[in-house]
Amino acid sequence: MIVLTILILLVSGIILDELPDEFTETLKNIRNAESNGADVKDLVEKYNRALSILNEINSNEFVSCPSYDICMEEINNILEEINNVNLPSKQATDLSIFIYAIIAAIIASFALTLSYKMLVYYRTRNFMMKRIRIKEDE
Amino acid sequence: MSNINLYDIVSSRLFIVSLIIFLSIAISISYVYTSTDINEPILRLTTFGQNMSIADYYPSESPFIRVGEEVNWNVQIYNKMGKSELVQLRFGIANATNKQVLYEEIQLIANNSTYLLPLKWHIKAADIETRDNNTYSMIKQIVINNNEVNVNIMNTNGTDFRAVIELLRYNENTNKFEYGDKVRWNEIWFRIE
Repeated sequence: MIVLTILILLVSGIILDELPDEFTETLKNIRNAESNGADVKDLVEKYNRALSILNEINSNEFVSCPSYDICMEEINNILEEINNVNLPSKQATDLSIFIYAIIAAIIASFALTLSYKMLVYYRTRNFMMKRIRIKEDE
Repeated sequence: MSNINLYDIVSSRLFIVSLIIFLSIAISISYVYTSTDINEPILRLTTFGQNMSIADYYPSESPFIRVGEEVNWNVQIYNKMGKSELVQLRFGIANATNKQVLYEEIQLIANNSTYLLPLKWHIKAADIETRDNNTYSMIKQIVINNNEVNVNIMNTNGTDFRAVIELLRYNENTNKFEYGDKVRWNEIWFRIE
């Protein structure tokens, strides 16, 4: 499908004014993931790699892949890879951050209270031991 | 140690007070970390000269560009539109009325990211022609980022040409690159020698 679309665009000479449908669909998927709050920087990087290969095909200067067919396959793979990625939404990520924050707060309070209680316990015990020793000396 | 048990800890005043303090701090930090910017959307196009400065646009100090002299510019696009933007950057040469696009680059720029495109170009062939008692400067060939392009732009001898850098945004609905609501372009004037 991608092959056909790009061929048509190459023949009509409008490849840089319009994008093949598969690129448009992938862009929509990236933007959907983004609107759900996902971090799409990796996907953007992959998309730009596909664009760069498309540019190589258009200018007939194959640098990152040796031939038209291999370049097309590469583009296909990249776009499929992007479309198949399931990024966690921002809401899910935010919720986990809040849950971790609450757990961390409980652990910190528990550790602080336990440390304080232990300090008090050891100081009381030492004090009692000293009193016993004084009484024994008397 | 046997006197300290879990119930004593969690029911103590210290635990409750410290939990309230730690929770406030943790939730505040999480809120700041997860909150999104609500600034005005910006898509900025800037053209820098050599060394990323807003000077040294020409090979020499004057705005004259000789045939074969290399011009080094850096075009920077900053996207803070709140979403990824698919943009098309166009470089063209123009006289007072006509423009010819010589080079195009398409790039998807993530939100809150910057894309930098170095533009290295030189005039490979130019000519001076006389028609109807008027003398015209003609640019015939330009090499830009190693792409050789035939040009057909002429100007009255002694008047300026324009190097035009335009930024177009992709419109998903029309499947075309279009000028946005605010047209973004840079223009640098030069003369040929």
